[in-house]
Amino acid sequence: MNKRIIFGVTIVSMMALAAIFAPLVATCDPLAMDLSPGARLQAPSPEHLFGTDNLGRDVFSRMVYGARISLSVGFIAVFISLAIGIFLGGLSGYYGGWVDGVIMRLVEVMYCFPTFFLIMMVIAFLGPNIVNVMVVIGLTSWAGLCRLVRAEFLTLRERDFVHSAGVQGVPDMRIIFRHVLPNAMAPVYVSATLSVGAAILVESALSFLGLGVQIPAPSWGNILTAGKNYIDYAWWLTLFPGLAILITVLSFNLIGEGLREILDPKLRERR
Amino acid sequence: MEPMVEVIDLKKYFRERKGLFRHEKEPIKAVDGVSFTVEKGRTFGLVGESGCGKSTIAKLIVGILSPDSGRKIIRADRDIVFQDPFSSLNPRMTAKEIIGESLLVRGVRKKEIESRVRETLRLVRLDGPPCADKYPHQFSGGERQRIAIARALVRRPGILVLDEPVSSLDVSIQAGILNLLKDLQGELGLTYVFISHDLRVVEFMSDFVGVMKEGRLVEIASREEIYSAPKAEYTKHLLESIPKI
Amino acid sequence: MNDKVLEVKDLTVSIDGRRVIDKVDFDLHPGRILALVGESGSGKTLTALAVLDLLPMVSVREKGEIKFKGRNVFDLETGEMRKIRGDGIAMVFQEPFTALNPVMRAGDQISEAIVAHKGYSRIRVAGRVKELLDMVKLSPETSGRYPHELSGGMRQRVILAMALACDPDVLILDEPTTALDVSIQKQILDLIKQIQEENRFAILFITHDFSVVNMIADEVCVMKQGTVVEKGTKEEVLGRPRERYTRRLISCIPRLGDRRERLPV
Repeated sequence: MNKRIIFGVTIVSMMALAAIFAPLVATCDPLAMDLSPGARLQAPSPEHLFGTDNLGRDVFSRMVYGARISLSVGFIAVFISLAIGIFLGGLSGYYGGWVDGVIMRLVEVMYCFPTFFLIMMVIAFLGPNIVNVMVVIGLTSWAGLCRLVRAEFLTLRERDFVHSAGVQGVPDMRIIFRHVLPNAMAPVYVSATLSVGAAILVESALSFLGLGVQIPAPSWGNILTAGKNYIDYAWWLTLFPGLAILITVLSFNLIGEGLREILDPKLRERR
Repeated sequence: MEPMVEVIDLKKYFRERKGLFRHEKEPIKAVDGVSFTVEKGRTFGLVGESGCGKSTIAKLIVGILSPDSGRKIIRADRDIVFQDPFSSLNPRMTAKEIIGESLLVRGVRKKEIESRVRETLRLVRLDGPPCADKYPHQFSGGERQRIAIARALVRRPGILVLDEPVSSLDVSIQAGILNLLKDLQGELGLTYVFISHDLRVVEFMSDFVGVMKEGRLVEIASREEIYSAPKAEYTKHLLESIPKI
Repeated sequence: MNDKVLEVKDLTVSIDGRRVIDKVDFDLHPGRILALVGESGSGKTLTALAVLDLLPMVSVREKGEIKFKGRNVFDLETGEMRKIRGDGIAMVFQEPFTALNPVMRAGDQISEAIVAHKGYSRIRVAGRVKELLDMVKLSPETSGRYPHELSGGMRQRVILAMALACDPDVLILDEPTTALDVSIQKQILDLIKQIQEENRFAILFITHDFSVVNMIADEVCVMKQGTVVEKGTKEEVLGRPRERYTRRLISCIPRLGDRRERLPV
């Protein structure tokens, strides 16, 4: 097995487990403030592994609960964009003609927008909460997957086994889902994995700007927001969430790269 | 008795996508007025060099492409066997699933599908029980082609279009498949349209032969006539070019 | 006629523990064409790669030597071997469509082969390119064309010209006509024979088709799963094959005028 994938999957699994079992892993209540003198902005210590923030809350526990946000936004947003991308890309690649024309124009429109600003605008309009964030990220990031799936469908459509199914009277839907789609997924897996990393970054940025998860609920992004005012002495408020985002996104990227290595040569070697 | 396959003045042109300035390029005349008939139980061999349009005819006969003009009359169920045994089978389906699919989509019950698939595998001499559950990459080229033939025959069509069915195979495997095709024709009363660039193989398999060049039939006659007394210059030229052993 | 320009002795190569070339032995003489015949998986292409010391990294050469003009290629330094490739021994690979760089003109690709080995001046290179195009019966204008503007047969001629560019002693041709139409095939084979007569190099011709062997070979070496099962002159192997495998291979090709109902398997 691939070193990259092992490393990536290990890290992501650890994060996921910590997120799922947050109540057990966290050492304190992430919302519990402690405004008594000396309790605020404490450096990391055995009681507060990652220190405390400006309201005396334990940063480690907030990070653990924050992992829930980051990972679920990542997965759900990508799931939404996968659903849209595969559906439209499949239709576009299989049927061609005006269907392809319309969908491709739509894709081009999507590409024209600076995605992040679009997301910010929509969130500002709809109101910042985690569901809106997931849905909006999903709705704005399907274009790349759509093109990828369409490209695979275009080539697979001409393969002899697809022609054969047509000759034998196999209905279109079955051809798309049983013959073409399963063979088109390889690049999709790679792209989707990388997209999770990207979605996490977007969520963190939104939360940092106050447009994502709202305080007091913890998100890696909004811990950074608090941290930015105290950077010169409370370095832990910036370092730990920053590192967490970095390592998580890196892990997803490693998994994606590893998948690409595994899937690509196999495709070539089939001859 | 009416012929199983009648092809009348079939034409298929491919148009190049027009560029920005709408220059009407000459369409490619892949098939430019081809006519022939095939009697029941006989093999019609279609031979020609690359680009002559013979594969296009195959696709027109089975309905993968529709003709721009001309007619075709097919008086029985038809199916097709392609050249490349690697790409003509879905790599993610087992042999059983591949062969049984055309039955499945017609609502045949599972038990019956299983027995018909087994019987068809026996017909193509892929008897061993583990065969049915294996995936294409676990078979050799010749075996894959047998699976493709089984898939085409499972509903006992009357007509089989074979588009270069042995061109990708080793010579010794090729012989086995050709023998098999002949046997099957006898057992099942099949009518074949056999397409190949290899004149020797076409001679071995066919009763009647059509020679194609640039979308047209330059000569069409019985096997004896084509090979012993060819009339068209092109046919003679092709026959002369074959290396003798 | 007795000086062997290439000697392959007892060559044995394995990949992943499996013998892909097993005690293979043959010689090439100047002015003679040796056909290496076999089905897929017989090891014939690998043997050709071995001659140029281009075996895949995963392969292990267990024993044997290949002597080019008396020197064992496996003993040579990398630099020396590189000089021999293209200059002493040239190879034409199987697919004429992928062997040419699609964004380079034909003439430039031929020149590249020359420039790599000889330090000719530009004028001399241009002259040599014209000479080579002439040898392969292509018009001088061809040198300005791109591969996609040429037919399959013309592309194969360009590739041949590239191989001949440095006047090699040994020419290895791996299924040079398999992907071509029958009438073009005949032209290319005739061309090869003609060039051979004019230049007297040693040719190793790899094919799976015995009728092509009949047209072009002087000597024949039949391979099966890495071993040489039969070897001899064309007349011996085709006329009086000793091994059952050889006889089977020869007889299972349908022939013109053949009225057999079934082919022997």
